[in-house]
Amino acid sequence: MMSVNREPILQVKNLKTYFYTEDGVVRAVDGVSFELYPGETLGIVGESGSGKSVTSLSIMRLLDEKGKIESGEIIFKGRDLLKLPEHEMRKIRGNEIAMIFQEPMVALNPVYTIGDQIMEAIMLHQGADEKKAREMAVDLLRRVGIPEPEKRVDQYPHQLSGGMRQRAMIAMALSCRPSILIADEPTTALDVTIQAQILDLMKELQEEYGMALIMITHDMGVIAEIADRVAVMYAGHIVEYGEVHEIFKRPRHPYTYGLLSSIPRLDVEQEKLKSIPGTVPDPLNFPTGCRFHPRCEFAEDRCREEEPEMVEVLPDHYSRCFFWKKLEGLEVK
Amino acid sequence: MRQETKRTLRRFMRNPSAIIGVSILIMFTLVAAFAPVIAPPINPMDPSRKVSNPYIMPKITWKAEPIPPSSRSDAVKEFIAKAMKKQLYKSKKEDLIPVVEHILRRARAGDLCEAYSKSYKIKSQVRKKLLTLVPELKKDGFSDPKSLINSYLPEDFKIICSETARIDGGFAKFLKSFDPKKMSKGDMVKIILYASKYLSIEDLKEAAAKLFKVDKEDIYRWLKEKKYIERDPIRTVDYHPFGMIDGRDIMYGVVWGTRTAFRIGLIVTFFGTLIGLVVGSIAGYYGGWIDEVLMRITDVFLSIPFLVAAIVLTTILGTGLNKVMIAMIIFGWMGTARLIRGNILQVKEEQYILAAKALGVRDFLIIMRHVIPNTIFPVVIQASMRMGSLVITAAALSFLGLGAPTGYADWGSILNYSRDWILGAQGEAFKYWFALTYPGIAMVLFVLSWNLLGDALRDTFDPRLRG
Ligand SMILES: Nc1ncnc2c1ncn2[C@@H]1O[C@H](COP(=O)(O)OP(=O)(O)OP(=O)(O)O)[C@@H](O)[C@H]1O
Ligand code: SF4
Ligand SMILES: [Mg+2]
Repeated sequence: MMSVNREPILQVKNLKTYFYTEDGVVRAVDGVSFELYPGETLGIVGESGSGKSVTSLSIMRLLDEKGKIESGEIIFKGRDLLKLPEHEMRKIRGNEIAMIFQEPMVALNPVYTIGDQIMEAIMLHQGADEKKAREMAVDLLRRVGIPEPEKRVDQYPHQLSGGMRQRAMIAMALSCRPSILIADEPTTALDVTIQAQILDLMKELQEEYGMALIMITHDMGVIAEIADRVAVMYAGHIVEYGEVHEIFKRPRHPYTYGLLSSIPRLDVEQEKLKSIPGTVPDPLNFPTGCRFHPRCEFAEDRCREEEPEMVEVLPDHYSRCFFWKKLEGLEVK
Repeated sequence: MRQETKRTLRRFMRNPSAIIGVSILIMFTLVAAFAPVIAPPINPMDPSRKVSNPYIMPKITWKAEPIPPSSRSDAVKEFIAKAMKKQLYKSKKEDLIPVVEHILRRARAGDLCEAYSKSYKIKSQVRKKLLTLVPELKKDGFSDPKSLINSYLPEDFKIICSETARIDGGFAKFLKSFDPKKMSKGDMVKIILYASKYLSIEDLKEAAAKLFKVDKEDIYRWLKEKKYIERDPIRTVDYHPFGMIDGRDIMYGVVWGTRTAFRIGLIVTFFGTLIGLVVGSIAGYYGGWIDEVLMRITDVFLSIPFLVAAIVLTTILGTGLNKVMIAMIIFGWMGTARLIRGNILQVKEEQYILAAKALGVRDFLIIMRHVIPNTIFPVVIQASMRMGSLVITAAALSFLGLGAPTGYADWGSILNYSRDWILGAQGEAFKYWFALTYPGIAMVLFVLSWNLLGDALRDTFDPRLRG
């Protein structure tokens, strides 16, 4: 799927998003760059608080008043989204770039039927009349695998199960056939069997609609399932970036290595589940040098003083670590 | 959409508290609408006199605006004497005095006049005689006694009776069966009490003495014994089913008080909610320093105890129901303001707002379609709950003497008015139970029905609570 030669549909360059809170400046996203190619799936993975959601909200320009995009460029189809006036940006939201959220319970408005909410987007961007929009909504619901869509279209969010709500959210996001879909942890709130169904559905729809997908998750399993390429985020940085198989086979950043080792596996007998020691650093107060050094088993003095740059360790495989070579030969157990 | 409305309605109608609440409210609405029929106000029929305010419970005692006998013109006195001697005397009924008195005082005289004249076949004479008196009556303060007499002496007695029935069922029955020979003690009481609406105590004593051939002072003693004269609740009369307190009909007060309750509830809730909505949504929507200023003002208002504030305000504005309503509006909007502000703040953070933004919906539409519907329902529900509790507050203020004037048809005022009897009599704690019970029941039902309605509204219209 991956094609380096094609033009990227979305290019994020050195994005910095800070929150100016009462306690100080939260550097939630601090120099993130990646590309998204048409039709591919990019996974963004990282622990809670690493800045994944802020990255996606920055792309949509939907940050709250405290959040400011300090610098960077977000090039979508040749235009910098950060320079567009608000009304132009609104035409892009939902229509060109759509988004689905982590909590299907709260991302649907409780006072409207799901039909109403899907129709809202259709009528907004496609100028369809109510009758047409309703037909389209029923079709979409059927397409995302909701049984009895004619009945469900008139139901309220609370009348649907979590999985069905997420399907309805997907229908809503896809209603205008966007070219990019950003899914922010779409399966985290669902139980495992439903997770798998939703991921399958998204893969199917992605192929059918030919759209690019940014899949945000903290679950390496989801990445393995769906992504073509992956960006691993840690403390506002992308620390490793490359093709999925490559990274799973040859992680070149200790954090990625840790994440991969902590996936429970059935084929290998493990005495104890490995996990990365320590916690995500306080974004108000990142450690000096490499932000991962307090938790890194390979850390040396240099890591505490100097901040590593992104380096291409292998073709199309980038890592933000001085000592990536130490990971050569190490196998993910 | 229409289907959904139907479904919502059906859900509402299936809710037991909705059914109970709405039925009670419908009952109250009917009572309020038909108050003049259920408890007709007693207005002077003479058009030149000022029509009294129907919300002031009429005081039905013989002390009610008595015309002192001395002020009567000689001609009238003479007529009374003649009437007694002549035609009327033929029937040996000097008891026509109260009748004639009545004619000279109030328009309802026609009823009595007809009744008597029918019994003694002297209708035309009485009428003729009355008409000769027109100039004298004019002197006596009636502006158009001729038409008064004519209009109240229709040819058909039945019309009179039905007319009377409309006014006073008990008395109409009495009129229809009027026969002085067979008149029972109970009937006497009735006529005395009826006359009491129009006669002075002196006249009454005289009339009763003549009518029933009893000693004047005996009658007086009897009346006193039965507490008809002293300022005391009474509970004896057929046509005052809820009893009377100090000459005021409790049923009248309860019936007209329904209108007062609705007026207080609707006006105060409307304006209080409006102020709260404006303040709360400006604060919640704009945030920042505007929010800060408005909310601090709200806090200041909240920190003043309501009763103290109301007392201070009424000393500035003066007492009265309208002043109390103003006080309740001024100190009654904070709850709504806080509620709507909190809701807007909360809804602003909801993910579905973000989701709608992510679909490219404009700010204005987001407010109209997503913020308002999710914030307004609690306000509506709160308003309907407040409708009831406001009436209690108003009653409390009336009870403290800040609200409606004495005798005003307002449940709280009736309670205040009957305060002296609430404790009952020595050894008979529940002697005057009716003084509290009927207005109390009305108030409880009113508050209950609004609360039930509020609950039902919440259950049906707040989709978050739908099961
Ligand atoms: N509105 C905000 N105001 C202040 N700080 C914020 C805001 N939104 C996010 N942050 C901070 O930015 C950092 C990154 O948050 P973000 O939501 O992007 O994390 P995430 O990677 O999506 O985590 P999760 O897996 O929990 O969703 C966090 O430390 C968070 O505290
Ligand atoms: S730079 Fe040092 S601390 Fe950072 S990941 Fe590499 S080895 Fe660990
Ligand atoms: Mg997140």
